[in-house]
Amino acid sequence: MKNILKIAFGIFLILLLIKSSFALVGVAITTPELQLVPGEQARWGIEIQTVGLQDPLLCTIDIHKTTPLEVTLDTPSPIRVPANERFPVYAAISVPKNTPNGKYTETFDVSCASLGETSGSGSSVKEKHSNLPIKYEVVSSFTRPNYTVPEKPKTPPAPEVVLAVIVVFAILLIIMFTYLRKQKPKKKR
Amino acid sequence: MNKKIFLISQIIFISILIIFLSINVKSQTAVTGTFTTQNTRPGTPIDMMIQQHSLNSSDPVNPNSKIDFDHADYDNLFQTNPDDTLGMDTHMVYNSSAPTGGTLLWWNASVDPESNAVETLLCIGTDESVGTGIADPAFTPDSLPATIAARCDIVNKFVRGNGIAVTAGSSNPRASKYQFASLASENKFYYGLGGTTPNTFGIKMYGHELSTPDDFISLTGYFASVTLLNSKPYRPYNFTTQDLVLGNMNNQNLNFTHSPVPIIAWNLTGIDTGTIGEHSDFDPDNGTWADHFPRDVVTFRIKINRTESPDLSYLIARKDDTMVYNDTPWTPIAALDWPSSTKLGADGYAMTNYSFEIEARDYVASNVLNNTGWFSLYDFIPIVKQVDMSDTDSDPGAGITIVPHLCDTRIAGPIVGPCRITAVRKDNVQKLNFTIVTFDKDNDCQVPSQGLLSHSPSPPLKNFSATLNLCNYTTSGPASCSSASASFMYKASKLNTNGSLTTGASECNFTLFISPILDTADQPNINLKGTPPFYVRVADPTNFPPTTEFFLWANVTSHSGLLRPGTGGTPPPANPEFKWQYSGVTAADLETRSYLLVGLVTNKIKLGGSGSIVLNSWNIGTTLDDEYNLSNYGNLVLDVRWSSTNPTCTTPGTCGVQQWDLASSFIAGDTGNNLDIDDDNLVSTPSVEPPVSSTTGRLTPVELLNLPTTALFRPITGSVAGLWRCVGARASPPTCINPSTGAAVLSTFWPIRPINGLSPGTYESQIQYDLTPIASQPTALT
Repeated sequence: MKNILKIAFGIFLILLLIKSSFALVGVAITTPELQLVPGEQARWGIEIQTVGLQDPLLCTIDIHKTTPLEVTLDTPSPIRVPANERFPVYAAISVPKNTPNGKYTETFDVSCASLGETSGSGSSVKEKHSNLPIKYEVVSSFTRPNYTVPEKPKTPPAPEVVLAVIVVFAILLIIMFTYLRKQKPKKKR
Repeated sequence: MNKKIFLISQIIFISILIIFLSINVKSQTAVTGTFTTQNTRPGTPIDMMIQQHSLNSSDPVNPNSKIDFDHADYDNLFQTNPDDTLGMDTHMVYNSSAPTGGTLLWWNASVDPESNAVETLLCIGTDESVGTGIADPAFTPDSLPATIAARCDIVNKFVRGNGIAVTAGSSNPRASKYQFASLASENKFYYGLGGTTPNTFGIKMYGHELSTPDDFISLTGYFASVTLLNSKPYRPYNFTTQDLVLGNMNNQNLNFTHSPVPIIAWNLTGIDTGTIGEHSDFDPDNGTWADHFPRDVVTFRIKINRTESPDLSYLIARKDDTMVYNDTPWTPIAALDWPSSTKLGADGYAMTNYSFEIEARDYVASNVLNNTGWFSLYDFIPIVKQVDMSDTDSDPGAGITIVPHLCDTRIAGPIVGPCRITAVRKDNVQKLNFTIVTFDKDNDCQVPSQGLLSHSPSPPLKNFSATLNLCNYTTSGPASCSSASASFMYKASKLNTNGSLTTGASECNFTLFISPILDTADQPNINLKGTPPFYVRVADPTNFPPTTEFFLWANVTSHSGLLRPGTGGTPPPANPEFKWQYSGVTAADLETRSYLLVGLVTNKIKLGGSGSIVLNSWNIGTTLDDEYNLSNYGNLVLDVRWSSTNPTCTTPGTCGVQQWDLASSFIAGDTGNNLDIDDDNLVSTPSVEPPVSSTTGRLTPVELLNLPTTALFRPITGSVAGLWRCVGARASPPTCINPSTGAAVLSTFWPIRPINGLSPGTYESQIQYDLTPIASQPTALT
């Protein structure tokens, strides 16, 4: 069942990419070279600029993983990017504890597709920003402060999760109550 | 026996008495006696005294009470004087306002033995010899030479019949009097030279009997002298400026002022009277004691000289005898100013020195405290602590902070800290704004629109202004971002403080909003250049993403108008020069020939041109609209790689079995059934380039295949390949450089040679271009 859902979502995405065409964005690498201490997290970010566009986009960020860098986007890719905005994309980054000190350059791609309706005839055009760098230096201890990137906002738990917790808690209460009722007559005797 | 003797004695006495009376009766009848009386000269007027008055003085009758009263000073030839032994003297002059009018003279008039009417002939002259009579040897009691009368240049009542009448036999010995303030000549009744030399006048009086025909004058005249006295005002001392010394001044023992119209105070001294200390009055002639009425009005004249340029400023303060001098502002003739030679001290203060004189003057006499001291006009030149930059909204705090210790240009190496803001594709920064955070020890940040200090009158302080210079990289490097060489210079017109303007604030935040277009609204009267572009020279190609590096230098002027030097300037502390950069932006738009975004028009491009497509022949596009431009609207030079999916038929019901597989039909050169990208449509065969004289179409076309195969097709300018930055992106239409002169715009045409066998219909492919910043960004300007 789970696999079927994944495949269905993939097909939907492919259809979107095929249908959509022109999405010209700017990608600003807002974070300069960072220092990373192995095992510790840092923040990193870029900005997807849709200034002047009328339709929202669906953007895919593809980390090439050619270096030890582990990137966890705050919002998993693909990311819906509103039209006519400077949309920040943030991520937590880290390197494993055994990463040797040194300078590294990870690369990533950004490609966006419009979620608006296409019209006219002709060939569609797709833009891709390729091999954009994430420069970082692995150090044993920081020698300078890193560029400040906002922390990931703490999002409240999903309503269904909250509901599930409540239900579980209620069931537990019922079980305990039932158990206690069974125990009381024994004490009276 | 006794009775007999008594009786005989009585008889003898009576007999003798009868004889004596008989003899006398006989003589009277024989002799007539006569005598004659004569009119005699009147006596000499005597005992003159002059009026003295005092305010709130001890009552001679009741010393415990204070009263205003009139008393007199006598000619001490006759009586002991009440105030001194100097004879008649007074501080009152001809027109002084004694309670009863002008100064009074009293005397005892002449007494005539025959009780005839007598007048007093009175002469008062500036020549004291009038009184002593030494100068009038020709004078006889019955002659009054004109030479004598001429000397009566103050009061001339020395003409018979024009004297001062007295009532004969008056019981008041000083019934005669003369009161000044009636004759124009009396204005000579004044103080001596300089107002402090006692001036003595001669007085002579005669009694004149108003009888006819004798017209007698007293045999002797009365002569006296009267002296007018004046005291100098007390000499001021202890000159102080009232400004408190703020911060770390060099010498706490000196007087300082921060205001060019300082409040000045001083003390009064009794040095003239032998007593050091402050007096309640400014002048001994305060009206409350003998010889010192009336109260003098004292004026203080303050002269301040700039030590470098004497007599630059005169400041006059009138302080009458009722003023409280600390509370009364004084009217300046000229404010203190800052000479051009003023230097910034190592402690951050600018100072210039002034000397001073204070003169206390009672109109006729003065006392001067001169050139015995000096004071300093000071101003702390604000320090730029920090510059906040933002390009996001109107809140500078939401942007970046130029952190001095990270962005200082004296820190070697590339910018790695937070000293960067994000450029926006196809534009300059839209909402660039700055906050210049300064520190001013003087606590008096102000700009014209926000009023001046609570000082009356308002001191003509120069206003604070903040200037922000942005400079492109120059070969001379940092410390060159002066206002003279700045690429962009802005003036902050808005000032926020963290405190009240009236009480001052040590931190002054100047905010500055810069429009991307030239706009005079926020920055009047300055060199406007909009926001700085983000596509200029790359300073450090090794700092990938290599972006523009700018220098920033902010400076704030205070009341002195002086500036702190830039980095490397002397003396320290200087305002630091910061470096900052734009973040790298990749952006390239494929647009129509008229620079309309393709995606906003048809969302598609026409392969092979807009005409009918002929199979197995080159369709290169022959109309103007068959051209599409790829422009680099970011700030990184880009490699551009192209690919295309296989064209597929999209017309329902017409598509045949035959499909166009680009990979299998590909043949290098013109002979294949290829989908090409070219930068011209000048010849029927794409690989044949236009003549050298042509201004476009220098690039050889490349064939596009399906992913993952991509073809590199981008401009090559000189030895540098890549799509360069479009400098004129903000212009409409953008003024990017075309491939013949530069490489910020790539013209694209899409020649296709479809394979035979394709069914009629509409075919679509998806063109993809990959933008990759070239590894080694060029250092040219575009």
